[in-house]
Amino acid sequence: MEILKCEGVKKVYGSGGSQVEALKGIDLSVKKGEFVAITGASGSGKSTLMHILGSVDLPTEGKVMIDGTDIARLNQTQAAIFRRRKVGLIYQFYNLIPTLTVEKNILMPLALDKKKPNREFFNKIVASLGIEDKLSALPGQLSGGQQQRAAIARSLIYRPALILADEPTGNLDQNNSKEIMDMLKLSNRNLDQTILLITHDEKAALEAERVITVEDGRIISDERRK
Amino acid sequence: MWKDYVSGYIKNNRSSVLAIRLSAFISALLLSLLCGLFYNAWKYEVERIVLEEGGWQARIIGELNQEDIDFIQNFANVKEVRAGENKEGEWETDIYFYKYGRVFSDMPRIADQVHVPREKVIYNYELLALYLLRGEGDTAPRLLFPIYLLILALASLSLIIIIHNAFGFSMEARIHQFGIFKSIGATPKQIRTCLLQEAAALCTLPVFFGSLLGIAGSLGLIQVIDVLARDIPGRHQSMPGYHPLVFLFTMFITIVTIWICVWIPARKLSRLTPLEAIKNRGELGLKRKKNSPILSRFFGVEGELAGNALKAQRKALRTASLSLIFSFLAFTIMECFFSLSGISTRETYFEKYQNVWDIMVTVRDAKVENFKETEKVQGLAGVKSAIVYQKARAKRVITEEEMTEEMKSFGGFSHASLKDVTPVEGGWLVNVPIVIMDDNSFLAYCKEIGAEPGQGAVVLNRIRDVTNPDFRHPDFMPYVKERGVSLLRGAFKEEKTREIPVLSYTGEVPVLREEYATLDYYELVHFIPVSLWREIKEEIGGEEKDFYICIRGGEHVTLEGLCELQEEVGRIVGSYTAESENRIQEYETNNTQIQGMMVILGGFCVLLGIIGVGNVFSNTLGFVRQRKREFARYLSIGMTPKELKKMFGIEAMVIALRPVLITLPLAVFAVGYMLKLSYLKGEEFLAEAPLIPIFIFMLGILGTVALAYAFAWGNLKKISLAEVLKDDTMI
Repeated sequence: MEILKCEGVKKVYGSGGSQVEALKGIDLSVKKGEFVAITGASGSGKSTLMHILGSVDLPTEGKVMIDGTDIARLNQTQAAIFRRRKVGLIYQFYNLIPTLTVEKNILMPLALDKKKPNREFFNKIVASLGIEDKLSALPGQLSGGQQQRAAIARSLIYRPALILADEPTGNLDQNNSKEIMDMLKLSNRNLDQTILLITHDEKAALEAERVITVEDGRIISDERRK
Repeated sequence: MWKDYVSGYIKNNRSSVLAIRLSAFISALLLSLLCGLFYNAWKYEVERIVLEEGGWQARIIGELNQEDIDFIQNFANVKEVRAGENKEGEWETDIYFYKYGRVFSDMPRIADQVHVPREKVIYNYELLALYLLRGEGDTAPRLLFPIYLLILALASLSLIIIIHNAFGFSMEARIHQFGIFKSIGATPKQIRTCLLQEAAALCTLPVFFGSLLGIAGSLGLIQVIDVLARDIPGRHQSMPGYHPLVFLFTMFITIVTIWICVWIPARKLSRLTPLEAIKNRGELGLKRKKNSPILSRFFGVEGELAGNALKAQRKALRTASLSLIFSFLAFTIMECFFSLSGISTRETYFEKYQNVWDIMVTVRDAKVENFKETEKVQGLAGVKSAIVYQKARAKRVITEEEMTEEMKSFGGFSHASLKDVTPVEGGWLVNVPIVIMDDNSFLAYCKEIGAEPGQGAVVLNRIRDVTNPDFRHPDFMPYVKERGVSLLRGAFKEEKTREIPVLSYTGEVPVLREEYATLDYYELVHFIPVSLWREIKEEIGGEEKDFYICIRGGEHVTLEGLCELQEEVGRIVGSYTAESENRIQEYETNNTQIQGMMVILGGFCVLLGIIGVGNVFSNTLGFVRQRKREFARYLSIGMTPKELKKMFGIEAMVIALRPVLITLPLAVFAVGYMLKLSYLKGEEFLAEAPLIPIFIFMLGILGTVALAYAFAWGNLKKISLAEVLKDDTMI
């Protein structure tokens, strides 16, 4: 089942002589349960692609379908609700809300929808991520690795169609990086979660079952690994 | 560094720049206003002393010969010498100096040279104290000038607390950038200098214009005060003024105030290590877990986020919160106090005496029995009644048998203090105020109460239930049993007694602007005609120095009518030293004075409110810079713009409603306490409660806070989520 489909996605910044074409026609298809890594050098366009897929930015041209919704046609409110329910975003710098406890951060997407959490699922996530004893702490009281785990838990809590992880290990040491990658793999395997990992780290990309390389705004390779 | 960085920052960060300029302008305005007001108050005091006492600095009592006067005149620091007799016929030599600061050292030398003993030299301490010069022999506190300086120091301190945030915001937003400067070798001193230069560039014009507006404001306010207070007895006409030295002083304290405001955050910033500075995200956070149960319960997750955001901004919003709370609290309590005070004054004074007097003349140092113009005053057109009276004090003994049963029932004299009632053999010695009325008025009074006129006294036979402290609603009862005579003793010569006939015992008093038995509940008031007083005055004595004429006009008297009547009465008593009051004028003056005080105090409350709102504005104008990452984070996890707007609205509501919620219970408590003290009824206050001005003030706060947040929301709506998430400097 196809969960993500991009057709001729282009993104142009600026106008006139200062125009920059960040994406030059991306065609991409991802099936449910796939773990895909998008790699590329700095400035290749991978972060722009991630922002478009995460509905935080709009393509200049092209179509982006996620779980049957054309996200390029959504207005601001629809895009926000879409992000909340269908996409889990994981950033390099965690982006946890510093004034809320870890538990409230994790439950935030549900709280915004005024939904009660499934405690069993919540306990399962936090236990598997090893942060069950950090739930009442504020993000600022945790290490980088622990904060990233909390961010992963938040991205999983709504069981979104797609998880977009933008350099999730970029700010972590080797041990923590390995653990975070293991957890992403675990959620992919155990929860059948579709994951799109955006990284410039080739070693991290090799953890995925499919590696897409972007260069100068175009996909130059799309390899499946065993 | 200045050229490359600071000028660019000023050009590109208009909201921060505006907040700083606004802060500098408000500081200069307030300090200049205070300095201008204090200078004029000081000038008024100097003029008053010069008018009342003279402008001399030292005076020699006793006659001096011309040679000595010439010697003093030739003394280097002496400007002028004036010798002459005073009112008491004593010879005085007033000495005026060039340099006041040397008066206390030069004057003893002068006295020695002209062989005048030191005790014959007196100084104009009151005047010299206004130049902060204190002599050893001056024991009076003379706090006026020090209090001005203290208030100025407190105002500067308050401004430092209030406005250093504006500079702090602007600097903290750039900690990351300064970290980069430090990492490439900028010294702490260079960073401090750079920030101080930036502040100087930003504040010069606002300080100049704020000072000018403050000067204009102080001169205007002095004019208003002068108009409002012109009818206050003893005030002299004073022209508002300004002195270049005051301007220099104002600029000095304004610059020092702003410099401290800049120095505090600049020093903090310059002390950070490059790593600390680079890592700084300039974001608001909490050190400990906080909950916002009420907001969360009422407004859900947006309420909780708003509550936590407010807690994280607590330091930045402290000034705004305190200013808004104090301004609203002070305004509400001031309005309630003046309303209550107005009701009380009206009930206890103007309404109570409305039909009692229209013109009240106090004739100084004169005796009623010698006054020959009574009938002339009573015969004036437009005079309904005119009672000429004088008060005297005597004493008399009240025996156990004379006391009424009602008086005995609440304990007789057991509650009385020894200062009012003295136990003597066979009874108690009580005070007897005697009201000596002109014969015609006494006759009219006797008719009114149904007493047989004659050469005797009418005794006010009532005593208050002293166990009931409610002065507004007292319970009266008969004091003594009625007997045909009253044996009076002299107030100061108790051995002298005189028995006078009592024509009647009554509970009704003649129509005079007098209160009886208010301080000494046990006094037994006697009303007597002046003809009787002439007979007994030798034995009794004890009359006051002045006598009074209480005049009532016709039914519908006007201010103009009363003023004319006042002039006519003035002509009749022209040979005496007399002062007269006019009820309507007094009422209007009283109202004008209260309104004037309300305008001034209300103005300060509004100024405090403006500081609070200004702080809210400076805070919200910095939102785009300070909180865009926070908002981006909310949006990235799926918060809709509508929900973000709701959260914003909750924040604004809490800031604006907090002063109201804190003030209301305190105001209710304060009003309750004031009602208790004044023995007024709650419904009387509620009928005239100043709800409209309080409501307008509250709307002003709510409206301006809402406006500040609306501006901020307008700016925030424009941020691009993708841009914020891409912005490395925001990490």
